[in-house]
Amino acid sequence: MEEKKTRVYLCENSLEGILSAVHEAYFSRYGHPFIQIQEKENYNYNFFYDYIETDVDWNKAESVADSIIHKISMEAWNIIKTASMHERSGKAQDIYRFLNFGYQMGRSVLDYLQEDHVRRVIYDSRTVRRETDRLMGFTRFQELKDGTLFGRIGPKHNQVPLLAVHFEDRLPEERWILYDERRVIMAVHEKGKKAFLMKGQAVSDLSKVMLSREELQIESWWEGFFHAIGIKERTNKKLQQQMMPKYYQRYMNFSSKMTDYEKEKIKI
Amino acid sequence: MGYGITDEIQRKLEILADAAKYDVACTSSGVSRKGKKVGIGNTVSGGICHAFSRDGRCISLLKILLSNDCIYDCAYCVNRRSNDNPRASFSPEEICRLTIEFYRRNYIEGLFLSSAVRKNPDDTMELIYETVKKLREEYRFHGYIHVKAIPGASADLIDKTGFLVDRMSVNLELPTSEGLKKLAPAKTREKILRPMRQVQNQIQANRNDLVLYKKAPAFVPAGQSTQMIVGATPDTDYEIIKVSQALYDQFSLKRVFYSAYVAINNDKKLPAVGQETPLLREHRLYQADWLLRFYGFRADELLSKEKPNFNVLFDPKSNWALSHLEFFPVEVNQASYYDLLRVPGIGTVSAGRIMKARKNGPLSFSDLKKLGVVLKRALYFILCSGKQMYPVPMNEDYIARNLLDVSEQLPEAIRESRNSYRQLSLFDDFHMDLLPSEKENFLLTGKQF
Repeated sequence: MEEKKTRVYLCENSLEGILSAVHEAYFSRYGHPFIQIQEKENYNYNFFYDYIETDVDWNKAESVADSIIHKISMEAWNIIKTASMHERSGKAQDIYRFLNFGYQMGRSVLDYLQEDHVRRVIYDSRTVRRETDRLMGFTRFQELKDGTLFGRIGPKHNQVPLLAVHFEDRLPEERWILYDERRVIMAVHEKGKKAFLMKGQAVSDLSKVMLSREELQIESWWEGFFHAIGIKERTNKKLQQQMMPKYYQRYMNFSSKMTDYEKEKIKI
Repeated sequence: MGYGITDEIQRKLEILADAAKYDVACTSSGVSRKGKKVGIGNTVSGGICHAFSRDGRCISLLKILLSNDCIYDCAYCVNRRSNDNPRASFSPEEICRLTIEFYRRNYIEGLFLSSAVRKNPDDTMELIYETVKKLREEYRFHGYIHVKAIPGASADLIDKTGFLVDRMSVNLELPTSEGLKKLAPAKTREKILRPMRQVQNQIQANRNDLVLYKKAPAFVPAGQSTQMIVGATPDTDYEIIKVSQALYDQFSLKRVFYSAYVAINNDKKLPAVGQETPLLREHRLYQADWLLRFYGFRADELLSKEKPNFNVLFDPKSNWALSHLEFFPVEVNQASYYDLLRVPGIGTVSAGRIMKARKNGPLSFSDLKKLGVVLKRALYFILCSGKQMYPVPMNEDYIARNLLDVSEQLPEAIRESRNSYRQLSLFDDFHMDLLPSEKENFLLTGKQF
């Protein structure tokens, strides 16, 4: 008998994209061993496979999300949610296999660290969470003329959706925008409302004219504080950089001026 | 317009942050509080670090003094009366504004407010209370606040403040009351312990209230902490951890912080400049502190009157294990949680994982590795199903030598001396404290030096 051809569902690189493809894959009844789900971006096509492009369908994605919560567990849902923010290509396939296994095993799926797909999904989610924790601290907002707080980040994984939840709770009465310049995604928050996501709206560098009158003053206060709080006799630049890698310092707006500040100190 | 005022704030901020920098605690952990619909701020139980200062410490809170204008003259302190420092004081309004503006921009997690004693303890505590009240009620700030309780302030003020803040601390300053008498004659141990006891009792009473009424306001929900300076007085490590243990047992503190003495003042009563306490000593004390809090160790097990200081080469736990080889080997598949914790290379996380995982069947050494056990440290002390990983002798010298190979990063000077220690012991196989004399050398090697 002729071998069944492998079928690949190509999906958008996002949580809703992956879940929509999972829905299609299940309803095709083609058989899980012969199905793969891959992200559209940067995919290397293979001559021997069949390809089906899938679009984002919010209803399908939601029904899959519901089934994960009810048939597996809330914890598994949270893990899938964060794992889907990971930058690694091939994560869609791991999530698909995780679900194949999870629908069989129920909530105990998370204990099966020996299964490669399960382990990879859990580790992905852990990596993403660690970066989220870091950025909860390292994100910096600048105040614009109209009082809006604008924060620019460039994280390794997609963090805007996760950070938006945190800042929604923390700054409920502010109008703020959190912008990921690597993925061109932003979260916009209006006073007293839920934040919403916007994709594909690029923002160029802010000029000083756009900042509020007080902004530079307060940044300089912060710099002053930052320098005064360190103990000179205990200087340990290596430890400092290890805890606060240069990759993130780029976006913590004091870092560029910090060197200027230090130069100035030396001159005096 | 207004330019002079903002310059003034900058100057004050730099003076008062500089004066607060020797305070150790900058943690924002211990409470999880959701934000409210109005106002600003929430807290996260794990705490958040917003930056790291040049010494590599986490900056989580806006750590400042309300004032550095002090009536006391404690020998070890930068802000003592007899030092010729620039003095400054913030008004409550200025502190609130700084906190809110920094918080909005996500520079900080909250406020850490301490103060020098300006006129008298009550006056200073009153100002701290006013500041915190303003921040919580007028500015509707729900972020983290940590304040110092000023020893000697009235019980009523400390009580009122406690209901507004997340953490309160009273500085123990020095480990023993003799040291305190010598270096800080205006302070006494009783004066310091009184507010500490009061906060402890209040927390307990409040906990009972919370059981009855869910909406009762929380009193110091993140608990209280304290700190002491290590190395300014000749106290031994043994005395210090005895004090810490007493504080944990009798005052139910959340944390005791240690700060290695930095020579700031030239004073006959203090160690001279250049004789600062090595950071390694502070590090060893923190390691021992963890053993007291999470590992079920007692101070008397770690050190004794005869051996009053920690080992330079080994962390306290390895040190204990090496001198208690009769306790080992521990059978991983049967030992209790606290017995597992005594093994070097097994911490609270991996011990917890072992307890869970071994329910599904016996664990092997490769399983332990996956669970996060540091096998290169642990292998001398454990058995899996009755077997060692590979045959090793239960011999103190042998294990000590091998543990040194994998020990943590030590300061350079010690690392070098460690090497010579090792070469010597390999060379002559028995303990020699002195280098062989020229004559001996000649006899052993036949070479003339």
